Amino acid sequence: MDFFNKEMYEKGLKLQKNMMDQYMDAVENFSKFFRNDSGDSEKQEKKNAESVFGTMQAATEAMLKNTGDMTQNMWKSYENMMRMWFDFAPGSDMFRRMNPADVMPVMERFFTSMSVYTKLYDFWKECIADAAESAKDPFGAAERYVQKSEELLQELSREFFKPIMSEDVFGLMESYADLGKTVNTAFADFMAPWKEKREELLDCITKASTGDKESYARFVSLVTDAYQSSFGKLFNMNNIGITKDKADMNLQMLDSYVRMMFSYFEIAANVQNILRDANTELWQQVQELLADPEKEFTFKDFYDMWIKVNSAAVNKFYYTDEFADFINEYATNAYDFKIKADRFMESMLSSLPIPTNSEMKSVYKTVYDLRKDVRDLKKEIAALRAELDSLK
Amino acid sequence: MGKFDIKGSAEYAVNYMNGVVKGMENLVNMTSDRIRTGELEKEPVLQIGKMTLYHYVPLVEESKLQDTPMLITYALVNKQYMMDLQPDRSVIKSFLEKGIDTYIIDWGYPAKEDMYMTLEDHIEWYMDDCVDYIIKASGKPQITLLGVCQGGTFSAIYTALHQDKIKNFVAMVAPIDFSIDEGLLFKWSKHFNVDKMVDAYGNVPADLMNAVFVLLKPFELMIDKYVGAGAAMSDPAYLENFLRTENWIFDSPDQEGETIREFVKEFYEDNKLIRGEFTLGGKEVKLSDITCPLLVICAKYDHLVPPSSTKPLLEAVSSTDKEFHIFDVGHVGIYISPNSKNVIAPIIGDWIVERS
Repeated sequence: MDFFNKEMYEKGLKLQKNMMDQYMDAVENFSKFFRNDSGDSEKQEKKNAESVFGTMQAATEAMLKNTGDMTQNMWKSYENMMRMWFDFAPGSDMFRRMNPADVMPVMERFFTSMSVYTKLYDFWKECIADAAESAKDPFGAAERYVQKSEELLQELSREFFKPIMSEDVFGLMESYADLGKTVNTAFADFMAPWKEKREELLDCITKASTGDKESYARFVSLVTDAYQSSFGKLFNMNNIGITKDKADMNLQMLDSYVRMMFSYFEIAANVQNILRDANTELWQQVQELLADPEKEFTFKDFYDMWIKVNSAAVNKFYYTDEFADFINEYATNAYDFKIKADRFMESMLSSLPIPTNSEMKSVYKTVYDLRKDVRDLKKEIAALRAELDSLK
Repeated sequence: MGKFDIKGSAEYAVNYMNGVVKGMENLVNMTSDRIRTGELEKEPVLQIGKMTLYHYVPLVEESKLQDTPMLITYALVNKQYMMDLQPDRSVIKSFLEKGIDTYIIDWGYPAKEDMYMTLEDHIEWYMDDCVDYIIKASGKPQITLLGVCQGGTFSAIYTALHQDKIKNFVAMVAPIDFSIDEGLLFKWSKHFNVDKMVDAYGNVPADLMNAVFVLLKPFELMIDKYVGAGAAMSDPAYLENFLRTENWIFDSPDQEGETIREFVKEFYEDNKLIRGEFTLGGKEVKLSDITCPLLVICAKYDHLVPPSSTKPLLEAVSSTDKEFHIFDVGHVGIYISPNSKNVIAPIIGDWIVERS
């Protein structure tokens, strides 16, 4: 294609017009900020700026934004213009006569680097713009950040690495990237129970921090469910290899410990709620006492009230089926932990010359059976003796 | 506006702290001989495994001894010397003073090798051997059997199986009907996983049992009891009695695994005894086979064995001579309250003497 191309010139002029529009927009914003009406003081300047933009902060932000946008747009416009020129120019005889062939790859890599810079800038700008939303949902923000990073890296690797790598090597790099995606997907699936409950968990934490008594108990319950659907499965899976048994025991012990602690926290959260309500009621009783001018009370009276109110509240909770289930679940988990911890400990000691509980249990059973046999035999002998004596 | 009596509170605090300081002095100077329990003289007459049968030395002349000797069967969860904890409140002393020839079973402190002991072993082996010994040693054909708490449950089962050896039966704060929801132990045990507990521990540790009992009334037993004691420790006599009780409460034996497994499953979970479905060593246990005179003693404020658990025994037996008494005390107060020696024990003693 010939260098002197009408379409190319039209595009070039449009680009220049865009650049100029951006520039004028920036100038307008600057002017608004620094507008001075016939010798106004600094204070008036500030007031003018504030009246235009609301606050000094907004004004500064707008200025920075415009500067950034203007710089970026200028840069992009320049890049597009140069790229457009290089799309057409190398095909023209005039260009080939003017420039040696090995300049083009260098220029190409130059423009690729420029695009890396602009892409990074875009990425950074998006993260900053997203900051307010990210604070409300840090998990979601982390997910988006990871996803955007992945996309950017893939784009950059295709634009930057691909031109300088052989097809095989680049293909290998892409397959590793796919492997990374597979790992991320597997991890996301594993953490799905936590992700699904994420919003409710955050909601419970927020409410619990403001004194909502149900929320902490609900939080513990949600965490327990999410654990059982994720890490709980991991700790109970079948292991492989020569140390399979010990690995199984160790992980199962860990799992039972976590379950025990979750059930403990659940009880503790509920008891804490009960006691909080009881002491609120106590405080009301104290207020009633204080409101009655006829009554006098001492610290001893307060202590007796405190014991009575708290004891009654705990006793009432104790008699619920809910508490019976809680205490049974905790006790069962605690016994389970002990059984698994003992089993693991015995397996670790098995190579040492120490008799373990499990080994001694069989001895105890044997001794017990022997004692019973001896007793039965003694009775039999006594009966036979009595019979013999009666025959004499 | 109501008045918070600052002066009164301050005076109370000062008096309290004075009491605590003097009490600490008494505590530091307390010697073990001053808080010794079981002052009454007794001798071991039979030993099987960890169990020892003791015979109390009579306090009356032989000619004034009652015809029928008595065997006291205590629970497994605590030590039997609570019935002779302190001289001025000893229930056993009251019995001895009435001329009742008294024996008592000390179940001992089970070790790990006892973990396979069953209910049958305790009742048909140990108790039966003790009863046979007493019958042989006393030359009397029958005995009075007094069962306390879980020992009362054992005694009811034994009497049903060996009515011919039992002349009178006294059940003191003994759980018979386990279907009630009144006591927390009865409520919680229906949700209880006793198999896991026994599989985890073998013998259930005494510390665990004590923790459960204390947990039933945490504010009273973990806080108020000691706050009250703090105020009264300045009195050496009070401190001695308090320490005796404390020593007894926490001097608990481990529970044999198979026995507690059976007890919880057969009674707390399935309530087989009162329903007539319980068997021991292949023999059916029917409470209706009990025909001897029966005395049932309950404690009104008993949070461990509410009266509603013991009273059904009166209807379950075939005895015609039945009597029931309830006292305004708690589970342990039956034996260590101020009325235990002078009011409660004489009622029991007189009833036994009348039927000896």
